[in-house]
Amino acid sequence: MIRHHVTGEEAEMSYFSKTETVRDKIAGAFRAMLGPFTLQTVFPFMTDGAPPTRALSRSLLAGLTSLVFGWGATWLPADDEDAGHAFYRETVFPLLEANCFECHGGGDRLKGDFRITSRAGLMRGGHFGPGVNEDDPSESVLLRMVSYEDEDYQMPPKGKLADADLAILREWVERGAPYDPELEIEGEPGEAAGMVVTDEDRDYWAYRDLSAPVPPDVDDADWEQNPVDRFILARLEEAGLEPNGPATPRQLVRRVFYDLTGLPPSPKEIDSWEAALETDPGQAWRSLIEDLLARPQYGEKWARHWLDLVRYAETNGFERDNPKPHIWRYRDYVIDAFNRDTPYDRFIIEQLAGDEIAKPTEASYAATGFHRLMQWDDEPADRKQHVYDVLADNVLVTGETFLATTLGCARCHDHKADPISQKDYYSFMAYFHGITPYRTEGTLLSWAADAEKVAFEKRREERVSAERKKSAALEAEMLTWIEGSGGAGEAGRDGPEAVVYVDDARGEPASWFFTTSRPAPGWKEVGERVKNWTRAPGGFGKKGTPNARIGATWDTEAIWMRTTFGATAIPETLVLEIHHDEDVEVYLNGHRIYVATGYTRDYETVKLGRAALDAFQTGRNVLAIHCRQTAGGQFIDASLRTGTTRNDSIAELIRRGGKKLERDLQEGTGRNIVKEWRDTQAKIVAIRKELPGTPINAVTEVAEPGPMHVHLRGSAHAPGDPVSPAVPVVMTGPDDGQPGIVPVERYGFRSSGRRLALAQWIAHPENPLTARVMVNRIWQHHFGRGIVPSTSDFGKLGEDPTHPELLDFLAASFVEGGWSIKDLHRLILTSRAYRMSSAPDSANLVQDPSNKLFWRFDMRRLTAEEIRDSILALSGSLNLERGGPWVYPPLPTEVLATASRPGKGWPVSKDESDHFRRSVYVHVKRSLRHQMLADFDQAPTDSPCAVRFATTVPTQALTMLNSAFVNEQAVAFAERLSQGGAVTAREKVTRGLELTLQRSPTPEEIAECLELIDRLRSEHGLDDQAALQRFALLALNLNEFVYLD
Amino acid sequence: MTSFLVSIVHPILIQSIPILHIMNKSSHFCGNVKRREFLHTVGGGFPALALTGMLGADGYLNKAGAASAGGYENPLQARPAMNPAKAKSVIFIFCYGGPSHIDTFDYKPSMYGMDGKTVEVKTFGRGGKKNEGRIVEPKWKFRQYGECGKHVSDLFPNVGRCVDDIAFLHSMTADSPIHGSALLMMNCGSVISGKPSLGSWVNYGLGSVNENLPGYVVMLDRSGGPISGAKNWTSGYMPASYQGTVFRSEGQPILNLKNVKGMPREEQRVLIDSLNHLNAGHLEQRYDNTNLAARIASYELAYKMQSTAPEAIDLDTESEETKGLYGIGAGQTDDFGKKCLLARRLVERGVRFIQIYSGGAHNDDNWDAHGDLEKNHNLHAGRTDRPIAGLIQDLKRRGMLEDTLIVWGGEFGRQPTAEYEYGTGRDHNSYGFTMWMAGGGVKGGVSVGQTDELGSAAVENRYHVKHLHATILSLMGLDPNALTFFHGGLDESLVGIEGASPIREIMA
Repeated sequence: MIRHHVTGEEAEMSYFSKTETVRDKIAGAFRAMLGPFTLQTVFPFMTDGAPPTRALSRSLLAGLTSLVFGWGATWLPADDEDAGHAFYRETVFPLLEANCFECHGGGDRLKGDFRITSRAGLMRGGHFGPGVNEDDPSESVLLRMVSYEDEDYQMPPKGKLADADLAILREWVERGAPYDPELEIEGEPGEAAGMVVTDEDRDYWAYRDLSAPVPPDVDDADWEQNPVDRFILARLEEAGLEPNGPATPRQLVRRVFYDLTGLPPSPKEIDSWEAALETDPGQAWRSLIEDLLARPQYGEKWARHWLDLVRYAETNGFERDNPKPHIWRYRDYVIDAFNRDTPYDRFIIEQLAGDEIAKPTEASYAATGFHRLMQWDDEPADRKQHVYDVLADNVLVTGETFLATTLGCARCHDHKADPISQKDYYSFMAYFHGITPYRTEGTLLSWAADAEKVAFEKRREERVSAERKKSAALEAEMLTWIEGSGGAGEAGRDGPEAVVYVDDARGEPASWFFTTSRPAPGWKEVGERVKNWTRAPGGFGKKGTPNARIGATWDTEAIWMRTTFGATAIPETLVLEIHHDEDVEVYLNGHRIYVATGYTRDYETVKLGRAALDAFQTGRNVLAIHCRQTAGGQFIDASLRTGTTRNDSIAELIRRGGKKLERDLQEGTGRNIVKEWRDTQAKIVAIRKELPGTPINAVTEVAEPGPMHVHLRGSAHAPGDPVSPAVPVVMTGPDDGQPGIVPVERYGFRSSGRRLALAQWIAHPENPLTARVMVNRIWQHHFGRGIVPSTSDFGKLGEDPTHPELLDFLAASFVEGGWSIKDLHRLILTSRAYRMSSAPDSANLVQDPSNKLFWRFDMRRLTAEEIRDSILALSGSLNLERGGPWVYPPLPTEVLATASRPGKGWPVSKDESDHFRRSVYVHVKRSLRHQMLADFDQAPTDSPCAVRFATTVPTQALTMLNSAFVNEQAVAFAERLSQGGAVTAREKVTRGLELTLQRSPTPEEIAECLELIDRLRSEHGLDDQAALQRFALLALNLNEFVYLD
Repeated sequence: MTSFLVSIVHPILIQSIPILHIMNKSSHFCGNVKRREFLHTVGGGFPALALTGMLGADGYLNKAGAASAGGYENPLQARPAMNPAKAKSVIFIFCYGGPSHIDTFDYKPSMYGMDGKTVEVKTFGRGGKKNEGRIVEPKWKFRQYGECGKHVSDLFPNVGRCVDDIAFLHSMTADSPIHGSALLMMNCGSVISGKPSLGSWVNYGLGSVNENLPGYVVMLDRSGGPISGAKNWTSGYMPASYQGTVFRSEGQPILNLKNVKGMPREEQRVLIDSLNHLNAGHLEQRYDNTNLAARIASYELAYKMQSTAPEAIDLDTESEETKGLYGIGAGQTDDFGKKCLLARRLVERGVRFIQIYSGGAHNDDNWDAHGDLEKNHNLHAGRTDRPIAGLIQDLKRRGMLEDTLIVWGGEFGRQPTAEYEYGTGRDHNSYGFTMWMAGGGVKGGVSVGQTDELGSAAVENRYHVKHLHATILSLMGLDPNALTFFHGGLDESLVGIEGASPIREIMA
């Protein structure tokens, strides 16, 4: 066996194992080679053991191995060759066949891209590199895997091989892994070949530069209303299809109201717009579009399309499924962005890097909530992996939303269809690598202008000081009384001695390991051993910081520190005394037990809660702290002890003295001094929590992200080659470089600038994907289907554009027009194509049944939100209040009962008017969806949704016929019909149908409804109002109500 | 809440339906095939015919698996399996919280007498990773049962008598020992949420044979749902139509089955008739739109469901002997017994996938025995032992066991050592645990796989949750590696991109 260690200056060389057979074999091989020379003359070290120089040893050993083992070459003495073949055939093959072939080459699947059935496959290797290490066979991946030494690499997965089998494999590898050519099974040529981006790849339609096509000539020049129509008509004429005639004015009004606002027009609106459209169609249509685009309901409707793409949800999922505090500001940001017509390039940049732009605003910070929408497990089984699961979600959403590229496919292996390599994937992920992991309480920052912040903090400290003084005075008073009385208080002092686990610099400071550069994510875990950290006694900071005793200097932006202590029993209480700089996190055995923002001026005593006690364990414990600071003096130090204090904390005294002490104190001092003291304490805590400005659940980032690697097979525990931030190679020109990255530094703010670089590259006017993707989405939501039907996949597994020139025309206009989404609406909506009727045409249906060429306008079902909002609009209950925190309308008890804590997490809004807000404001809870919205195909919460399904199932009918919500609204609707002048049943029915269908009902329809009312009255004994309520329910169930022409 | 679907419109192609996508074997992974080849275009059909075809089927739509007339296709219609199926339905008894394998079916004789001894063993549970612990010996005696002589603890004396019909998997492993993610893993194949659940895959692959009942039913414990609630029966990125429907054994079995304003059935009939007339008029001018026709049909189906579903849960027609077999009326087994009997009745009515939760809410409301193991497991086994045995026996005597697959297990097992300094509570264990299957093409009286002598980790024939999933799908006649759904640029499958083989050792 050959060992080849060349790491470090003291590289130790041990050349041969004691295995005589192998040694003999090598020696034999050399004798054969060398002829008359002796081994000693050529390789003196082989016998005397003196180490050669490293370079020499390398070259010699390389020669040795290649010659002796025949790696790559076939040099083996004939008899050895036969012996090798026989060994494989008789001993190794049956073993591999029984245990490895199923996944690694015998069948039709190849796991880990690794084929063990041929020597070429073995040496080419799979995701973890070559199966056998040429330089050091004993270090071969194959042997490591079968050894079961590492929890993450264990083969075969069904169980460890018997020792005898392991010995066979070891011998086989040591013998150079000979195969019997007769038994070799080769894979397909090109198997596991690396990915190379070719010119042809770059020439794929989606990556090509935007062209600016000229609208084609058409035969029927009169048909055209705007350039869009020429692209549509040209294709129709080419195919010999006759486009549909125009929809009626009423159909158009209803269509465009829903399209732009998601709400039905009022009877007045529909009447006046109908009249206007009949008088001056062109002008009236343009006015109507302007009217609707200017309404705030426009943003509410179109924001929802965007929220689908970014899998917007307001909780974290998993066991606790906690809300993401203030994340609704992101939803409001999107609504506002649409309403303000924020240019799309800016919309991109604000979401991806609203914190890194030159002049961030409250809105741009809120926009970065984009990075905080994903599911997040607060107790993942594999913390490291989950950090990357979250980042992977970011990559997936960013790729699909902005670039219509399914990057997610390349997490475990190169993309199978598109020229996106695994390296591209992790290079893309590196843009997000600096993002701080999410936290239970959200990653809140409070937005305020700098001056406002400074003033606020000063004021806050003054207020805390004032309360402290008050508190100290009260404590002194109480202690004086207690000592004087010699009563209950004294008894209270005789508790168990405090156990100090970790002492601070005021006493005998603990010895800490610390580092000032970001460590690997596991730094706070018990099982982790830190490397290259410095050891020093506690009290880290800069000299001159008030109340600080410095054990070691710390003057950088951040510090990570950890210390260990032993414990024999779990204490009943735990107290942390901590003096910290702004923003500190304290962990016990990997669990976060305390977090605080802002700095302290002295040690503070924190009684730790259940979480800390749960994290505490007997035996070895790890206390770990991460602290940051941005300006001024700095200091961090802490101690951890049991609840009994050496400083006679008044809190402990009162706790143990109980009610009696409180009473005695009240009698003795003449006032409720304990309550006064408690109030002061609470006030201090409350003031310390106050932050200036607006709390925003935003992205936060470290200035220097750690190194990023390719993750073999998607596993964070199997790092491959290092990567730097880069966009997919195929999306760059052959000579283009990668976007430049400039770290961002402002007052109190540092960031890597990576996301900004990515955002600017995506939002660049010359990025052809970005504009194509967005104009296609806008088209999709107007026509029901994109020009590229797979709107989030422009790759090879997606579909080709039906009208590529139109797509480019729209994209080019979009960019040239300054990325205005409202202008794009104007362009599309003023086309004749948009205003066609949806009626069927037998001849066209035969030729183009799916309306691929847009010969008509497609009917569509209302979305989940539109159905609920329209019902509320018809009943007159709709509350159009805008923005703000989410609302909780009532849910059926049966739905609440599906939660593990029925009712928890869905506190029905107290203000009843909130029950009738638009659906976009209804809380989106991952584990408990609003039943009606979910059943009508609202987008799922965990993956981006570019195209919603539109299912039709009987349970929807049950909801529409039987649910409390629809029935209550039907009652309100009936009530509304009885008001406003309608007296007879006929008048009420007519009005009801008008409101529901936005057209005048036919006499037959009215008769049908009147007959229903009659029958319900005469045959089922309902009174007039009850019968009218049934009619109202019927109206809400009409197909025409939920389908648009 | 929704299930059985009448139509799905995927606006990628208007009026097109993503049909079952069965990959050929040479193109696993993402495939190189244009998606549109898999999108079935439904062109201008004749809704009147579609309606007739649909309503005329009288509840058992298209038994032959043929599409409805006129190009109208119900994606949840019964579909022939890819391969010959051994099982038609699955009843998954989910012991939420994680039952202790060494106290139930994984006999560890050498542990008796070891109580309190400290042992070096690597464990990972709620309390983090530990290297040693105090042994809690199995708290129940084991006896041998059946011809196979299987050892079963005194927690399951009734199930013990069924061991000759059961295949035990003693070497199960999962990716997470934490409830939230482990539940998702067991139900949806991944610790990350958003993937469709096993029942959704079954319905997607096979459709439903009774359109008047959901194809995928979930019955929850009285104390509440499992952690993550509806995430456990979600259809994920598939249409909502494939998600599980929560079914209650008493009262209204399905949400909104009865009108809240107390509308009697006859009155509702009148209303639906009027609705049909008006909708028919609307359809006349839009004759090509099958979705409108589907919506009309959905009201008829809903109307029928309102009588079918209550009939399904009406146990009055069952004999006292049968009820007794399930432990109905016998105190602690009454509730679970009703659910098991209901499961049989649903299987008889063609429901494909039924999941019954033993345990709900948190802590000792389910099998999560962190504190007092004996109290906890006596309670939950006591509630379920007889009903489960009753279910097996009842199915068997009716000749239904051979094509009904019963699966028993939790999201993980429990540690051999104590979680706390005192007491018998055990922490979670995903390194090794036991599940079992019965009926539906599974060998009886066999046990495969082994944990170490403490039961702390699987050591022999280790199986992962995905192998369990692959086995269930295979028994249902579905190829786990070819049953895929195109989503986000990937042909997603329940068993993941690398695939998984079924556990052939237990397949008859």
